[in-house]
Amino acid sequence: MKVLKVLSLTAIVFLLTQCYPEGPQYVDEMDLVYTNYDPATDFTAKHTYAIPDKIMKIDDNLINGGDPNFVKEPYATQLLEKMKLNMANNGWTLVKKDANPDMLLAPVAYELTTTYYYGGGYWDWWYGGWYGWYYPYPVTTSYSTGSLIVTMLDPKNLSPDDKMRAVWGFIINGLLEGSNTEFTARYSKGIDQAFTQSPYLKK
Amino acid sequence: MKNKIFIALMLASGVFITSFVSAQSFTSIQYTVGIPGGGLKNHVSKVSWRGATIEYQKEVAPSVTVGVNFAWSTFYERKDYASYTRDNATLSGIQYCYDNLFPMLVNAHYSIGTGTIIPYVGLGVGTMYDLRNTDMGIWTVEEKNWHFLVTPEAGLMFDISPGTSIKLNAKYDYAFKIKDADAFGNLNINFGFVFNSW
Repeated sequence: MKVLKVLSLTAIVFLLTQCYPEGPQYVDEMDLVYTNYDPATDFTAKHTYAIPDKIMKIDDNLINGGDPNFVKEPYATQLLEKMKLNMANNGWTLVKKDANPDMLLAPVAYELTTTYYYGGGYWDWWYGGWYGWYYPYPVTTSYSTGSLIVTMLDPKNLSPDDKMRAVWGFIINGLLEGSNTEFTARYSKGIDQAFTQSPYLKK
Repeated sequence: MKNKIFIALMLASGVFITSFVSAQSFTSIQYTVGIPGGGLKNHVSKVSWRGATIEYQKEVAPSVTVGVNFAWSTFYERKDYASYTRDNATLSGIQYCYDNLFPMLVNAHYSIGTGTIIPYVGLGVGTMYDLRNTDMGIWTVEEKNWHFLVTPEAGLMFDISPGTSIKLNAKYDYAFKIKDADAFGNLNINFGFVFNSW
């Protein structure tokens, strides 16, 4: 029966170490689309909007006081055209920023580097006074995450200190992996989804 | 019979009895399949095929054993791309839900009859550690909770050789509601070997 004991234990150890379920397999499975809006705004009463022809990047350079960088062409234009198409499909008219638009769309791209570090913090159920562990050698993995953040602003609804009210916005968040073409395709799909899940924008 | 009920009740109230006549002890290792019940299904509805149970039992009276039971089950479900709305906010993406359950029990078993195939019933009390993760994108929402646990059990033991049996049982973990989490249930189907003294 010693064989049975060894086999049973081996099977348990195998289960504990090898069979943890997998998560996302592809980069696009990590993509998220978030929208939020101001319920006090009557979108049906607003008809025109203006949008810049560039997408500014919020990156380390800007945070450290440098000049703003912008998303490269032709990708910026592709993303902006996708937003304009969705706005038109929802009954909005594009005008110049000096033509007294009802709304402004302010797109920015965030580029951040996230460092992942697993310190074994989940074992306190088993071992009293557990504080995780550390590695004496580098094991961190870093990857870049990106977000396209577009905010709809009401230039006619100013606060006492002249700030515009943000009335709608969307965030597309995902990993900045893959080719530029794949990246643009994923974010274009995200823009479509942002409008799909914001039916209150439609005229 | 009254004695046996008394023993089970003592165990259920958390009193561990050790000073009985010298008797056999049993160690079992089991493969565990988990079927999520109420409260757990909302998070992960798929059956868990990843789980294990280790149990130690000591005979304290004819047909009655008491002991400890530790188990682990991992539940996992990938939910298709969907939108989740709360108030004015909507979040769309693929959700990956994980649930790791670690029930820890003291329990008592009562064997019914003798022979090659022996049915038994049991009751356990203890605690359930529940580690839940809901992943979307690079984000995760993690919940860690300890629940009071009651576990009725019924099963069969098949003698396959002197000192070794096969065990097949169904065990229902009922984790009680706590301040930060709802009650939930989990039906375990266990299959494994029992060794008379390890």
